[in-house]
Amino acid sequence: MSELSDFEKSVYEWQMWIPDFGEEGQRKLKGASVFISRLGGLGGLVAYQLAAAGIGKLVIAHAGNVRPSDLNRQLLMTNDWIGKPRIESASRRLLELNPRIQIVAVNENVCSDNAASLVSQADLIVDCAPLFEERFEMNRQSVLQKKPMVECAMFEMEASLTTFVPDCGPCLACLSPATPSAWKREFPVFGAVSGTVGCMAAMEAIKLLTGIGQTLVGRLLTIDMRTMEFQTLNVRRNPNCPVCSS
Amino acid sequence: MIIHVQYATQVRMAVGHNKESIEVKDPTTLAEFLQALGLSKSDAVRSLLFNEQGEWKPGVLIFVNNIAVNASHRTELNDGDTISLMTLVSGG
Repeated sequence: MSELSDFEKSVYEWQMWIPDFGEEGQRKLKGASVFISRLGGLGGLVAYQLAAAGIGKLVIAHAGNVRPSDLNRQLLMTNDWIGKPRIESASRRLLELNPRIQIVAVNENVCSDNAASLVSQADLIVDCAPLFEERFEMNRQSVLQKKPMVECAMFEMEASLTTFVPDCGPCLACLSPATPSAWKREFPVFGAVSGTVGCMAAMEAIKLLTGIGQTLVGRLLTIDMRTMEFQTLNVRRNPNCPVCSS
Repeated sequence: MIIHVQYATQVRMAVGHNKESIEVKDPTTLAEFLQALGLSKSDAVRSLLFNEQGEWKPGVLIFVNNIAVNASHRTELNDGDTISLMTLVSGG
């Protein structure tokens, strides 16, 4: 297990006070790696919180250049980086926060050509992609490579979060075997909504990597920030799932 | 009997509100309830829930009393049941 330097112990001191996390949990986190697909309003916050918490390695993938319309929610993108690659802005911001983490930065979005390689470089996936095609590619790799996937999403003032652990519960294709026809690439979004569920997804990743708490395997958390209602719904494996059923 | 219905994400947006209570005959199965619900709503809502063959669309999740079920569920509903309908979304 990874050892902590005195400086790292001072940085993470307050979270190591959490009784079932402690120094052992911190060492587990330092030895762990997470792949995050896209670093927008949601994935950017997942990456930022995991970097702050002391994750060992982040594999991050996001194509394209920073646009003005990114800046209401994508907190790793900055005004001075408009027109320049998003992945560079994100890497720079993450390393400013925590220069002790390793970052593998890929200037691509997930597709069938790169999904296997990207997933193979991490212990866990956090799925923050805005297109179901990307989500299904990661889901297939999650099942094939037996790596857990934290699945988070938002729309307007609502958000959802669940965790897929291969052989322990449903996968994304159990919930929907095909791309939902109503979904559109552009969607209404407040940064505070995507950021909220991003922080919660980071917590779910920390729990999975360090073995603390209870994860959302088999449960779908829904959040309505218009009414501040939280609900936990039970989801099940589809015995005829085209991806995870044997 | 009374069935409580909750709408979330794009279904809520299409319906225009997030919950309502609907009186139905007893007995009614989930499949019958969903068909009747579709017929009582606008074309926009109906096309969100059903395809042109009248089949429930993939990606529209159904929960009865917080448990995920299939649209073809033949179990009879009970007075006071809560049905939640939501599209799976992927915004980030």
